[in-house]
Amino acid sequence: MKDLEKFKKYISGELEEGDLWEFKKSLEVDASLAAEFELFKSTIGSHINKKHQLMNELNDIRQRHSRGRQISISWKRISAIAAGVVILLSIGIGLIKMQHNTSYQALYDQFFIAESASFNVRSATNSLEQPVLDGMQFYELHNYDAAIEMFEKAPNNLMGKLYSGLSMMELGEFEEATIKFEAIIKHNDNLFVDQAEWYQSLCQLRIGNRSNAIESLQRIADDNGVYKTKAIKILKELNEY
Amino acid sequence: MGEEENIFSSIEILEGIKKHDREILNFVYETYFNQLADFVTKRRGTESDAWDIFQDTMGVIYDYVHQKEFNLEVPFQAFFFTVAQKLWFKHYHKSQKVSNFTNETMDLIPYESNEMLRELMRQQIMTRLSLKYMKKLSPNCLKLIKFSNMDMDTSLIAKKLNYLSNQAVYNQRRKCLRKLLNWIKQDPEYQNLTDYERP
Repeated sequence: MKDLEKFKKYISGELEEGDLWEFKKSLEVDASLAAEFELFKSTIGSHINKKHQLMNELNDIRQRHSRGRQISISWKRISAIAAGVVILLSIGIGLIKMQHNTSYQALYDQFFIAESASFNVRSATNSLEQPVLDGMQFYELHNYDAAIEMFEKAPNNLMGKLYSGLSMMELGEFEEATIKFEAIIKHNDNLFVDQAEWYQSLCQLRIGNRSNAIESLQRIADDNGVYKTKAIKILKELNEY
Repeated sequence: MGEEENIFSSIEILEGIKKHDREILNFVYETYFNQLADFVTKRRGTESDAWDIFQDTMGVIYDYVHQKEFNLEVPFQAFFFTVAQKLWFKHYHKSQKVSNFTNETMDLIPYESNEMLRELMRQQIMTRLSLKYMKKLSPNCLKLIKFSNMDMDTSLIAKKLNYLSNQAVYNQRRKCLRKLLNWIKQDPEYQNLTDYERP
């Protein structure tokens, strides 16, 4: 994709004649550029914020009307009462689920402590590739997107995988993070299995995948690794120990 | 259409949409949504399909009234339903819900506007798909897009989001948009667009 600044200039009519001709020609012959330009217009292009706002306003109007309609129907038709009960039950189940998710999140927040890169870097410097070192620096600077980008340049490096997973956790991409941790666990013959298992359990917990989280935490609790005590604490909180 | 239709003139409605006037938006919803839902559900669509079409129609009209050469030559109602019908056919032609695709519905609108509307419709579908998938982006990507939307200077974005250079901002923004584009490309609605319509 070309520099998006050019897209902006094109939309606002700021491209000089030569550049303008070249840009228009590129749009005609380069389908991927045309697709990216189209996407740019629908995400960053002019007045898109206001258009998104309009869509939200319309949704709000619809919700108000739908609510009004639901109330009037519920008094007219008995079947609607049954529907109401179902809705209430769903809301109830939803609330319970939400409560569970909230408590899982609270546990996650309590036990997730961002890993420092420096210790691992020192202990494994010899085996590190340059992109992983660069990635670590980005990780330390809390620039997680850039860190992931770097780690992806060394896809077989297990430490890169671990910190890629940790960066994803920081970005709230828990499902993607579990994939990284699982790869480390599956590899098995490395220094990072304990950490991978621990963080994978936390991700499962955060996603609300209780059974997977418990299974994984029990494995950690049965072991004599550094995360044993913490795993037991969480299992106790979940009434599973 | 009853008495309500005459409350606002076509120009007033368009101006109201342009300015997000709540009274006008309410009026348009109350006056036209049920008719549109009726039209869609009679053609094997659902009320949810109708709502998508309603939003898309309003999005297209919103873009249309922001065009420099904007000029309405038909009453608002005709304009609204012409766009809505075209969008309905466009969305569902490929999924076989509508068997007879026709361009006749566009004939109510002058030829030059027709061309512009086609472009706006395609853009609107992309906007809706972008909105749908933007929710999946990481918080950092969302911030990047938000700041870019605010026309924030690239060096300021770099500073705010801890990027080392402007180039890093460009690279990351490109990466975020690519991710978004890949998701959109997997969406059946995107795949339903004909090659001509697909960007």
